Amino acid sequence: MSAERVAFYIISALILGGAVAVLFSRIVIRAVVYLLVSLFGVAALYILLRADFLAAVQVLVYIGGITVLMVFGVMLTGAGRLDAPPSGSWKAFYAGVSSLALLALLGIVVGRTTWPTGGILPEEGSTSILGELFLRQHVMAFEVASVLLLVVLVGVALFIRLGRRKVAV
Amino acid sequence: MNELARFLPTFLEGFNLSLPQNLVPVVAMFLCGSIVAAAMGLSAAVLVWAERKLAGHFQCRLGPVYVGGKFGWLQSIADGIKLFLKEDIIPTDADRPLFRLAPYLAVIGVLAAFVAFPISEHLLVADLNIGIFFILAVLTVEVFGVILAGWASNNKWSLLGAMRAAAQMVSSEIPMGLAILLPVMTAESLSLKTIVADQSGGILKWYVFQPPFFMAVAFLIFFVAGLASLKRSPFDLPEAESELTAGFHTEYSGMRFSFFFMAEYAGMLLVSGLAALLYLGGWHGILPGQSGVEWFLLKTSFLLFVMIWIRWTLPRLRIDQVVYVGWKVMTPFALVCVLGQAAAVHFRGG
Repeated sequence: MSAERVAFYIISALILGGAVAVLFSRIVIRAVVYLLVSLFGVAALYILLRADFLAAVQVLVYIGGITVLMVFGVMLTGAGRLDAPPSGSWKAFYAGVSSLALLALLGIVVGRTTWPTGGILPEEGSTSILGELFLRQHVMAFEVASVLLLVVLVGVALFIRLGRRKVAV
Repeated sequence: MNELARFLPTFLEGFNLSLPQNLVPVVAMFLCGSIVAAAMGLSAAVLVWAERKLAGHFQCRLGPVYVGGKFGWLQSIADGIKLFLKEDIIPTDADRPLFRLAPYLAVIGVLAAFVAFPISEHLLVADLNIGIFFILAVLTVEVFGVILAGWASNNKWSLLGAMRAAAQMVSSEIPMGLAILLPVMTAESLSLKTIVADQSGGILKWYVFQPPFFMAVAFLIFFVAGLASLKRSPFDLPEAESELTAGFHTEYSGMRFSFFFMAEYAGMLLVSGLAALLYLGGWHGILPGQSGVEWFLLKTSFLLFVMIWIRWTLPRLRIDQVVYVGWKVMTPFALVCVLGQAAAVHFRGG
């Protein structure tokens, strides 16, 4: 077995183990830490695929951004512990249905995509290739995504300001 | 690292040892990691001593004088031994596993950043294509460690410190990233080695002194945002001792405390070094043709001195002031600089 394959199995175990642990953790912050393990695994997988830029983005956005935001949210709301949901409630039913729907959707997408296989290793330095693609071929999608994020940012600021004025009155 | 991997088998043959071929890179990796960790610990010790000595002189006293002879230069070693021997206390109500994990996360983040950190043209662990971006990314792990420490301690001071750390991190990270964009755009590379190579040929080629001087503003923004991200004074709100006892590390003692300490000092070295590499020509000297480790160390030590100088000169800001400076002062300035430098690079014909 090659070193790469060993690394792949270790990393996959980390990703899956982390994800399962998130599901079964009752303490929210611990769930965030397990999520961290899983996300780190994904970054390591990217490195294994020679997509170093993507790996750094994964660490910066998900670990530096998303998980920090989650911890921030928990600290502000004081939601330390998840209690067991009451059995037989409609919430559980809806959650189950939506999870199954998502699973089916992902399954269809995975099944329909033709995955490039074989021993092709991408060139060193995927950064410049990514940059070219973003600013030439996919410039529309790139700009739409940034405008969307900007709208969200401004919207949140607006909501907070409106809420504050109501409290003041 | 690759040189080390090539050198390792011949080195081991000298001792009549041999290594399976596919284990060589792994062993080289471990060796590099250990060297970086040792260098980090050692430089942190030196920096702590320098900080105490300089703080003393800034306040018209002598600082440490007894341990190790004339200048008290063994003070940090004594401190280190003291920290090793101290009891490792974990509060009853703390979240035990997370409380234990947090200091390691803080240290690992900084340690990983040093992997992509070149000291001279030939002294570096790995010349990553995404060098500077990698450093920015792994540094966020340190902040996560700090926030986790504050939460897991189950202490109001710690929690407040951690929340301040998070708010401060978010507001300093964006100007810092924007300021880094300028050298990256000019050198057209994310690799620190290439960025420094682009600044060769004397002091006028250093990015700070390049007209139209957007880079000089970016240097200032980078340095200030770096201070904020390091939780250094005047931005040391997460551990403001007059309000929060010791902030996020109130409950930590012994080695676990020293890990946070080490992460901070190694982070100082990292930010000063990065500023020297990105804007001050890295290992290139003042005259064209001069280059070497000593230049890099000289510039880094000067910036470190400035950091210590600022700490013992300026009073602490308020948290809303820190966030204000980050979002409403540094970010717009950095954005203007990015646009200006982009135009400059474009019209240069780059």
